[in-house]
Amino acid sequence: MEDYILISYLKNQLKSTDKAKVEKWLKASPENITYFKNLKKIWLQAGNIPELASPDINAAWNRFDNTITKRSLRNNYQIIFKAAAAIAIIIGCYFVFRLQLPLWKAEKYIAVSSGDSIKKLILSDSSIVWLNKNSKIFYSNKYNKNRRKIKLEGEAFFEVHHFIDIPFEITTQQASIKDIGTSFNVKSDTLAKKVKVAVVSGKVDFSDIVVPVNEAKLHINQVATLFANHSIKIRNVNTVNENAWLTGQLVFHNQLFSDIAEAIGATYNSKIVFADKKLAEIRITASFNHQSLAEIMNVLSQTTNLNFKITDKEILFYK
Amino acid sequence: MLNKKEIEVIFRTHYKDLLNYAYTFTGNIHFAEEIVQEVFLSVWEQRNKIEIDRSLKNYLMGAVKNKSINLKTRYINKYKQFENIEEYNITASQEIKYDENEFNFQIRESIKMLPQQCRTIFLLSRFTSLTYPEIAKHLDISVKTVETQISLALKKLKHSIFEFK
Repeated sequence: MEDYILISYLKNQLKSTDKAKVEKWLKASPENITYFKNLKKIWLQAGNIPELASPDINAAWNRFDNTITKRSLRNNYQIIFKAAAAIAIIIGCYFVFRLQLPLWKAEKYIAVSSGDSIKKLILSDSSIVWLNKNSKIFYSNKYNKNRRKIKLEGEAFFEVHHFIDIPFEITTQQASIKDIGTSFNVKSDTLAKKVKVAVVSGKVDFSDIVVPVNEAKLHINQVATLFANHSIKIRNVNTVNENAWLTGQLVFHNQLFSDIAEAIGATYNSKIVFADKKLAEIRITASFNHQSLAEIMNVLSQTTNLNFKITDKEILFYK
Repeated sequence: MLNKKEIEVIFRTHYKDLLNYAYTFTGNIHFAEEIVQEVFLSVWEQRNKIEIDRSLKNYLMGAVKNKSINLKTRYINKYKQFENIEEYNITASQEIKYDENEFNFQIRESIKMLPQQCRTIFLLSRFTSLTYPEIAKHLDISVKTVETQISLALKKLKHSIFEFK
């Protein structure tokens, strides 16, 4: 009978068949019983370790408690030091921020209005804006040669400084005009809800703000008008007269009186009408340079051999 | 989440079993006590993540086993030193720390003298309710090895007792 089997028997871990075998062996002779008793004695003594049988749990717990208390204190000191350091850093950052404030300045918009006279404005990228009377532009205080966006109310003539691949954008209530280096005239009429762009040089992208896919690419001597109904009408004309309000130059070469009337009307903010439709079809060649409306009317009258009458609302040409 | 009071309850409930289990690896009370302390310190550090459920005891036992194995591999010489010191103390004063019974003393000494694996197997059998197959699985050895080692351990213990009644 092996010792390990007897130990299993002692621990009551044997299957009933094996258990029966052991008991049979025990009954077989008194020597077996003695052998077993001695083995049992050794087994019991081997396990007789008071510290294991009844350990001093209180002492063990106290030892543990002391250790964690010491650690907590140490951690508390660490937390205080870290907090102090963090506060110092935050204070430091605050002062740095204060000193560096200009870099982080809030975005503001600058408004320039022309009032009674034409105003010339040179932007930080060297682009020039000529504001017609009673017009306004708005631009960000962060406007620079990398970010060029302006909002327009009224009429202005733009001479945009050329920077490769950096567009210059003008928005009005209805349209967006984008170009890279050109000169063009924009007239935004919020009452009639139309925007007219005339390109004097270069190329321009003209699009509807509400429906951006509604767009046109314009080149020299094209005038496009965006109407309230979102239609864009393009005319190929000499755009030299489109910024006559600025240049004072009006040049007409064998043009219909009706077209001339329109150009003069737009420049001088007046309405020219005809008593007879046929009068509007007369062709005229003339040029004007910084002349008053009255002077222009006189010249036209003489050239066409027509009379005109000025009223509050309009100028009427008749035979 | 565990607070200190809850940890104390767990500590007091399982301390004896954990200590005994640690002893099966170390064969040395001091190291066994230290291992249990360290296991509970880990619990303390992780107290925000641990939940009490049925498997907590298994978790603790596993932790004891890991620490015992780690301690052994790192301080294998220290173990030996410790044992020598104990011996020295006893021969010098003849005062046995545990009790006066010489029989008991002899047995304890010869357990210490057992080869490492033999000792672990024997102590696991003695101090836990694991069966031989369970011990075999626990130590990743064959059942036959376990049975052989048990018999071998007992044989050595018997030889160390000069009185055999």
